Amino acid sequence: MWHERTRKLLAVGLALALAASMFGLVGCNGTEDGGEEDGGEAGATETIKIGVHTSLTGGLADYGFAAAEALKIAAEDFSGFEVDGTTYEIELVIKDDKGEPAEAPIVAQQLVDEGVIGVIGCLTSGNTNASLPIYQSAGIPVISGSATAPDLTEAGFENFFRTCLRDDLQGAAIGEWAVELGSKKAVVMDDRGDYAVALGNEVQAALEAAGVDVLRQEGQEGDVDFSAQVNNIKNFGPDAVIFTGYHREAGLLFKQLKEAGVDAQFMGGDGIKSDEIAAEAGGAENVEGALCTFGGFAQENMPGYAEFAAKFREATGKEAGPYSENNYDALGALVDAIKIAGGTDGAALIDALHEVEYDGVQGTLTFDDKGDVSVPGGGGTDLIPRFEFTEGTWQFIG
Amino acid sequence: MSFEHVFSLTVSGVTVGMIYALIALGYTMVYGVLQLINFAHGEVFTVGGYIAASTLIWIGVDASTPLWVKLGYFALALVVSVVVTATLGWLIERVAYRPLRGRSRIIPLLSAIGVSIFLQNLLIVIFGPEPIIMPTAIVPAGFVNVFGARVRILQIIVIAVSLLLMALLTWIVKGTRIGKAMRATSQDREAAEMMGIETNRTISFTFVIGSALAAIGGFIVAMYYGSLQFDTGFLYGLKAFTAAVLGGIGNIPGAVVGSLILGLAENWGVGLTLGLLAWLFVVGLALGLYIQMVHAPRRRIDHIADEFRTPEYEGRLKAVYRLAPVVAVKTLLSERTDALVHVSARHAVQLMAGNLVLFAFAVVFFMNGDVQFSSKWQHVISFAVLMAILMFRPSGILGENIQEKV
Repeated sequence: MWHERTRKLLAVGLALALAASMFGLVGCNGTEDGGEEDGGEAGATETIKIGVHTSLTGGLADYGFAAAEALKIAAEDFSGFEVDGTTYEIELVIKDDKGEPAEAPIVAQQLVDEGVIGVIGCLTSGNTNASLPIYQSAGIPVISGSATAPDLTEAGFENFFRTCLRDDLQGAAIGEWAVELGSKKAVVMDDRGDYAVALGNEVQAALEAAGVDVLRQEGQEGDVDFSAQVNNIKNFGPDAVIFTGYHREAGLLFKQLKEAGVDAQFMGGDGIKSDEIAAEAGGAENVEGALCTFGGFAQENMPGYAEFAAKFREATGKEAGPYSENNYDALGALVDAIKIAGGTDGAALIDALHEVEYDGVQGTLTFDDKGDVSVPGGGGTDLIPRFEFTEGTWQFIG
Repeated sequence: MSFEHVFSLTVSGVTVGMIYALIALGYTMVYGVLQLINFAHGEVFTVGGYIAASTLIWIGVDASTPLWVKLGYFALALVVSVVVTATLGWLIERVAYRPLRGRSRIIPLLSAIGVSIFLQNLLIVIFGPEPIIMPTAIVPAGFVNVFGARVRILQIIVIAVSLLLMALLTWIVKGTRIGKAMRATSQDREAAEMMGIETNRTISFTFVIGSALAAIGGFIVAMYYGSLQFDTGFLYGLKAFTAAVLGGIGNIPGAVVGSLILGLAENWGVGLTLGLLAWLFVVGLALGLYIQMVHAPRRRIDHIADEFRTPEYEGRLKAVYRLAPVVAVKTLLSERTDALVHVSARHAVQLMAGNLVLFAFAVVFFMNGDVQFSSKWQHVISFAVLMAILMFRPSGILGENIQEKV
């Protein structure tokens, strides 16, 4: 009996000690950061921490890799800029939320605790949605290069900005495209995540407005078996199947549709624009001829893309992945804002971001009142680039 | 709603159910001998698929490989995967569970969760976070037309292989010495030890068999879906565990039945119109009425002690069930005089309530016969089915503690 109690006491004591040591460490970090910021006098060098909130593991690891690598290049390019006689060195704090909305707020809190002055991210709309409240209460600006759900800039988060186009534009463009291809009966399927549902709703609305008969289906992100949906789709007999989720599920769905003998045009949004889809679909032949759109500008319309792509290839040995240029520009815009604000205070940075006029890879970027990237000459669906999957990769077709 | 649509939904449901069953068997066998829910089992399954896929990638199969060579490679990948995974299963038991034997049940459970997290991260470290892709050349791509529906050759193979393995397992458990030792260990470990059975070895053997089945399941999933990810096993493990509980945990045929029901619920639930689903309630209602009118009163009458057995007493018990609403409620409200009649009355009211619910569902579904559940509800429906079944049979469909328990 005594033994048991001593052991328990010991365990509780150890646990408390551990907890105390962890809080202690966090405290230390805080004071260190404060010290650095105080040291930022004229003529001095200051290292600023910028958070990269992305997903390096999980189903969208390739998007996350593209974002992180692009940001490393950007950090190298922009480091050492001078404002009011102070030289700023950029230190990236890269965190992985595993692509799970449940992990995202934890990562957000970690970044806030690290004392970052701004955050580039999150990778997906769902994770952004989950993290924004934390970043907002910490008062630091968040710029995403790939969160395309329309809601995000409509929800009143004054600290959120993005360098990609919104899904309402993209959804309308996908619907328009399907109608152009002569679709009469179409299936719209999402994965029940924030991004996919929002995009799916836009596509469905666009199709229905054009008089197309739409069957809506839902899968679940992370599922591998879509046999029920495939059977429903087969029974419906569509001429187009539009999946608005991400490439892993899209690959599995397209494979299972092909195997079930569904003969329809496969389409999707920016979430499927990854060459990994070929492998995930069990072979390029299952995706051959699939179409997708993208939430950024067409590559040939971006003034700095060729140069950026070359840099990316040199640094990583891989082709520039989806949204890498948008992430690069996100950091560029933040740096511009620091120059305008003359410091790294959160509130000043948020104000400054609205004034930014930044010449980036994608062109001259400004943000509107909501934090959406403003498109020179207004935003029509013709801005959205189109891709077709041929010979194992997504080819730009207009 | 054509017949071929219903048929292809059924084939898909059975295929998925069979895959769940291969995993669920591992859960149920381990629970049978140890009363431990081996949460690492889902990851063992993933490892099996990864080993098979990476063996085939390493050999380098392509479309030009002749068929018999492919079959040879296939067999090699299967053997490697089964051996490695079975060893892993043995190791997990030896390292993570055996030292904790005899502790309260929650401790090995935590250890199991720990092993599960460890294995997931090990897979990330070794193979990376991106999915591993099965070489397509090894996967039979053909299909046959059955009743106008398209059935993949692979689906037929999956179902056949699963049935074969289950038959093999049943033979091992029922017809061999080690199977007898497994049954004895599950019934009473101490007594089995006293009879000279090496329970530790028996338990290890159980883990080896369960892991080998999981490895084959992993291989099948990798072929069927073309790829596997480090966390695929988590969802499969969860579903297989649910299936095992549904069928009655610890019960081998139960795991198979539960898995089939889960697979079919997932496919039928969102694939059929309410008009067709209503027939399931009609079947359920017929079964429920049979239990209320015939089966339950007969069981109760068997319980009457010989000295009290009179035709009037038997008649009274039957009346409680057959005229349930009137007599049963009256009995429940009246003064409590006879325990058996009282218990029967309560049981009868429960059965009747269940039957009424089934009836109500059938009517509502028939009335909205053309509507179909949105596929958004897929997982909700399958879990609602499971909860409904477990509400009426908490020990699972085939029961938890019968002699066939392993």
